[in-house]
Amino acid sequence: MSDRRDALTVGLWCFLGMVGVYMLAPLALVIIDSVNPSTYGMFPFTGVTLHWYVNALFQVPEFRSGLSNSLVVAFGAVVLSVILGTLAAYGLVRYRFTTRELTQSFLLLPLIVPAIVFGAALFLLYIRIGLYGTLSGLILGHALLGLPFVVSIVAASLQTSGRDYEEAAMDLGANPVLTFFKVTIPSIRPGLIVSALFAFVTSFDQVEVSLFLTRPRNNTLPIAMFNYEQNYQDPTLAAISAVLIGFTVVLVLIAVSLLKTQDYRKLIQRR
Amino acid sequence: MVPGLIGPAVVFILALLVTALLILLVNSAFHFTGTQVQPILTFEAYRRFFGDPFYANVVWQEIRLAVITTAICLVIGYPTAYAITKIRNPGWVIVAYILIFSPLLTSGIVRAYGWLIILSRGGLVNWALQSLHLATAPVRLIFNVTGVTIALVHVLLPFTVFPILSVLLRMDPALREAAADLGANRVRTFLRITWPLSFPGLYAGAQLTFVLAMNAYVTPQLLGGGRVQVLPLLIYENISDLNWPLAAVEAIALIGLVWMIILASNLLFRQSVAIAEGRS
Repeated sequence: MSDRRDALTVGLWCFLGMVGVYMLAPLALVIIDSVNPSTYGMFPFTGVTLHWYVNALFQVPEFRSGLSNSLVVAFGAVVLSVILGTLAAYGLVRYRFTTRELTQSFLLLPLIVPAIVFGAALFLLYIRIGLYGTLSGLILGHALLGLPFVVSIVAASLQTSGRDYEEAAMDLGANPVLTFFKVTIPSIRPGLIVSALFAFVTSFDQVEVSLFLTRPRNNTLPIAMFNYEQNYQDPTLAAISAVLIGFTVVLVLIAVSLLKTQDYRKLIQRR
Repeated sequence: MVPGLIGPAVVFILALLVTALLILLVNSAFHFTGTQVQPILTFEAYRRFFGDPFYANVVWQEIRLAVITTAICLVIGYPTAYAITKIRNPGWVIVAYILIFSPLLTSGIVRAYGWLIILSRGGLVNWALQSLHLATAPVRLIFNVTGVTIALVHVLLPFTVFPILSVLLRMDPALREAAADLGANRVRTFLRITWPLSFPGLYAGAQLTFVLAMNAYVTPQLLGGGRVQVLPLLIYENISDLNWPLAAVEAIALIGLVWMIILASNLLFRQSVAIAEGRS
């Protein structure tokens, strides 16, 4: 069947190829445009320049302070959401209680509320409690956004990893805390890595919520880029975007290299 | 044991998100003087929102944008998911996954800038059209509904493809083989077996895509050029203008609207399933 080269199959592959081009086009063009000498991103190119990279990395101070703010916020949000989310997932999967389903839905609330409403509401809260414009306020907000991902991914990992080894450890005299760190954590490692990656990317690319919670002098990188895009629109933005795409690729590669071969088997088993 | 484990996460959401949403809800009833919010219960923002035809028009445009985006996503997404299930080479499967899910790993701002390069007056598409003498003047592809739709379909396609793909992958191949053994050709097998069985995935994908299209902010803001008005844009504008009561009413309207449409479509879906089952 798979070797049949009839019109239907060929048509299907052509269609898939076209969709692939469509999906890749904006990202590829951003990288190509980052070396375009034309200020307005005009085609065709009249040469090749690295001027925009110099501009993005050294000339626009908002991008540099934005990047460091973004990294601090994303790191804080990942740590907070992974700790809270993993504990909650463990409680949800390993214990039976009456309000379990309700609690599970409640933990997905940050995902259900539209991001723009989420941001507006947090803004109204933050100006009352003095968190507006602070990095800690951003970390708390971004951790909320990452929490549902961590809870669902880690809960799925816990469901497949099984209780047998935990029970064996406790039979052999380990207390619940020791069991959690020596048995449970290693067995849900792939879920933890994937959920941390999700929480990081969620925070690092966040626009809507950050837009409400940052002060002009204390922006994250996406907000600095958002403001720049509304004012200038020259390929400096392409250069910083290309840097970000490269950064995300490196991040995914790190996550992939942290996963061992048996981890992939665990991730696939879940399906 | 359980409260100690789940408690912190629940308290975290209650203390921040639920409190913030309650403050937003209370603000929706307050009085706005034109420069500041006064804590007097007047509910005037509700009267303005539901009385002024401007808002009805915004809601209508937003629903139309979300419906068109969802329809295009389904038309592209279903054959895409189907084609991915037919790939035999594991390497190509990974390539297809990376391509389809790549928008999720990049910021909305990066993607919007990419579309700007492709669709603007001096951009790639207009340059190609004019070089090939297919157009004499630049075609307007951006800063209007067209540009927003092209970019929204791009970022939402993964959310359409994923539920369809997972249903197709879970489907028992024996069913299709049985149909083929009984003499059905591929088209007939698809229409009688694959299509009806994949309908729940299609429906889930459509719902998810629609909700995300309704809630989109960055894409209409950066690619709409002020010509595409949707509730998320108004919410941000009104918060910035300090008219929090109106922003709060718009937020409530957005959430309420999405929930109503989802519940109505669920009812419709259940009915149509019941009818289909009654027929067979």
